[in-house]
Amino acid sequence: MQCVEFEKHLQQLLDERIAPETDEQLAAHAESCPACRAVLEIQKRIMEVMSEPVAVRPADELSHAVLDRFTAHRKRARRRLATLALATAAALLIAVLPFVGDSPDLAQKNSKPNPKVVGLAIAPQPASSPWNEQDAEELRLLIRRVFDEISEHRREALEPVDRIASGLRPLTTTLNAAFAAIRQTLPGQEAHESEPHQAWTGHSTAHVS
Amino acid sequence: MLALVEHFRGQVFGLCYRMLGNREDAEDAVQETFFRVLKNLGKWDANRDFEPWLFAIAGNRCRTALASRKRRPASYTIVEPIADTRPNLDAANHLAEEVQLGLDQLRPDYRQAFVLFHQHDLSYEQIAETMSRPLGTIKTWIHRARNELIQFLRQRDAIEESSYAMRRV
Repeated sequence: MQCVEFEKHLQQLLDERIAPETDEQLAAHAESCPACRAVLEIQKRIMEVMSEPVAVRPADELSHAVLDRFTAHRKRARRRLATLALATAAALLIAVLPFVGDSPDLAQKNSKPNPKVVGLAIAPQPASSPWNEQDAEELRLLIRRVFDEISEHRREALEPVDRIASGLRPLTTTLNAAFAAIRQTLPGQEAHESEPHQAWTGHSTAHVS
Repeated sequence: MLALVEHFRGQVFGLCYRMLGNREDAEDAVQETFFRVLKNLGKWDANRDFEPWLFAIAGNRCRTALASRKRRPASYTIVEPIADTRPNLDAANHLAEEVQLGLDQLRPDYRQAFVLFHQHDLSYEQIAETMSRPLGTIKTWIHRARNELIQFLRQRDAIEESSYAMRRV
């Protein structure tokens, strides 16, 4: 066996957790090679040291120190969470407060037409538009239908909330009022007051049936 | 929680002590390790072994400690041979100190892989998982660690001295 082979074989034995000094081939080479004998001896001693636990022991209070630190961290985290929840609740309350207490009637009375929808409704139409009155009426009906559907879905979605938390009832009332108010701004709702026929002629979605 | 910390405290301290070479730093690393383990216990995959995950955290803490030690080089290890004048120095303790000094000279990656293999009896696969490295890399690191350790101890004549001391005892 050559020294290179000795080294390779030594690593293999160590990889397999076999004590190198028990290997006959290694022992035979080490007998005739002082350098490899020294390596074998050192390796044996290293393994002896590594198989023993470290002589130094950690302080007894170490475990309690860890737990104290972790407990303090958890308390801080809980406090942060509570503060965050409180801040969120306060922000929601501030956001909702202006609507709570308004009756649907009042909301309708106070509501102003949505400027965007009105703007769309009274936008000047090109003179060469192929639109006619019938198309406009159909579109109006379609929008109404979709909107009613959405409102109905919204109402249905809010029903469980209504059942669970009666405290949320003012909010649903307010939302319904808001929907009603928006509905008022839709074309066709005030057909006789805002010249809707003229407003809707020439709309680009002519093919809606 | 206390039971968990108590159960693994010795093993984690062993790794941290071997990695950092002194008790104070090792205790800090142990504390930091368990704090992180408890904080992130929910992230541990229960289908896998706990030890590799634990040792991975401990190894990371040790490497962080070593990196910060490098940034503030106030203390350093003296590697020059020093004549020990203590009359009845225990040969085994002397050898253990020499091995620890040798370990301190290794690259932290080599050291961690070596300690996990030879002291904690983790398999190559587990070490690869712990250190997030390929199996071949881990094998190479451990082989190099062995060779470098042998070289270091030969240079310091540690074995001859300790063998002589042991024979004398």
